[in-house]
Amino acid sequence: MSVGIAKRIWFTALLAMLTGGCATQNHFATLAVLPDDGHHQAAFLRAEQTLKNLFPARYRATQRAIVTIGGRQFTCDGLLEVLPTEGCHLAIVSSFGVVTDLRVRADGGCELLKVTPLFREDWSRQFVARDLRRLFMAPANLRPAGQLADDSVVLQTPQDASGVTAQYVFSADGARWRELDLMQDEKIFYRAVPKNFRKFPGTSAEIPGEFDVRADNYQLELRITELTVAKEAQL
Amino acid sequence: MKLFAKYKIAFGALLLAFGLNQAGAQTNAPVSLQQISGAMGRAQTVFTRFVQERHLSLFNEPLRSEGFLCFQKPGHIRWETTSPYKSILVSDGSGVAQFEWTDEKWRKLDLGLGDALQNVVSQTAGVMDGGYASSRSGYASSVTNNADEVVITLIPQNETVSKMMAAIEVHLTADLKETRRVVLRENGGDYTDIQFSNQLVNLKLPAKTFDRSAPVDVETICAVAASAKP
Repeated sequence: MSVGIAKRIWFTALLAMLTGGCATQNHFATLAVLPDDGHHQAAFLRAEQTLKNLFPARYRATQRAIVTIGGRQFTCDGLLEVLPTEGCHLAIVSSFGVVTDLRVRADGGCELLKVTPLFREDWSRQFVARDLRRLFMAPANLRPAGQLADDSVVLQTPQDASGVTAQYVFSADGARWRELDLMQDEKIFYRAVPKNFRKFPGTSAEIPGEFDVRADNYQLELRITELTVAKEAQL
Repeated sequence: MKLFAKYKIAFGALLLAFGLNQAGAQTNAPVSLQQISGAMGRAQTVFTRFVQERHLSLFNEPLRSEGFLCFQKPGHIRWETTSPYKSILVSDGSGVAQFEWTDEKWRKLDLGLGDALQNVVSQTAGVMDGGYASSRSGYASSVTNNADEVVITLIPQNETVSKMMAAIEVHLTADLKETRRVVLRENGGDYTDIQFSNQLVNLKLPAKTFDRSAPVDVETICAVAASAKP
């Protein structure tokens, strides 16, 4: 097999990601959120604080990811640096080199710092920035949505300009983040489950050591392999 | 093609380095590519520990990993990362497999690009036959003899490759018996620095070192290596 064929295989796989034509199509049952009955205010407040304080204000993390597209799996490493003023700066590196390097600013805007031949710019903005924004940044405009039958409490964001609403599910006391769903037209197209909560050196709270993400046309298994809380001058 | 060319270069540089170990050239004597070519065919197996640092121009600290590299003729390669996560990329010459340690067990991936990876690994493993150095195709090479090391620098001449990779440096001890580092310098300032230690050449590697279904664990290989050391 020639290198040319190898190249075509690579682009076929990425094209699946782009178009979703032969990629994994995930469908999720919409959560049955019961209207807020007014008895969970403390849990709502705590849930909001849980999300807001989940990660340290400034830290550096390394990640290992398995991405599944169309039933095929790819691995890559991530290097994430977070500063309150700068937002989240992430580089993704594969065996073939840097895939993408981008920053999601504190206001949610995306700044692409490096475009490489391995990954299209719009894929970085559409997929990578979304994961970064949704998994590692707490939205500022959460409001109580209600609770589930098992008393889990649900916070949600207002619809954004694209009509997307984010629902964050927490334990009944609001202390543990359990799930994130993104919805559009009342259909869930993205579900993230934080898991393996644990403390890292320098952290007082337990942080998700892993995320399982099922999105509209890909799956992401993301592990935080190292996390270091940074002092002001270190990043 | 760029990414595969780069991948091939990286593996090629590694194998070139270990082939050089067998050259037996005289200390401080200029090393010719003919010597390199002749020497590269002599290593039947290589086992070494590595520490890899990917230095990204926009980050202060590198992305660091460490593990073990195994090579065996013909075309058998195992690149095992042991920290900060566990992963094995292994080729037995006819196919490639990847394993990830998740949920306290090894998990074989349904590898995307498997055929392509095998193709690349096969081609790069072929450098052990000496053709890579002797043909010099695609690279301008130079050898620098310093007081305590020999540095071989390869500059890609292919336009496609040169857009990705600025240079490859192979650092050897002056007696050519130890490969110290391989540095892959990309355009734009990023570089990957792979440092080697505890190298063993022509070690009899355990069965299933390169097994694509259930490769032997690295502890077994390390035990064999430890018992083989003088």
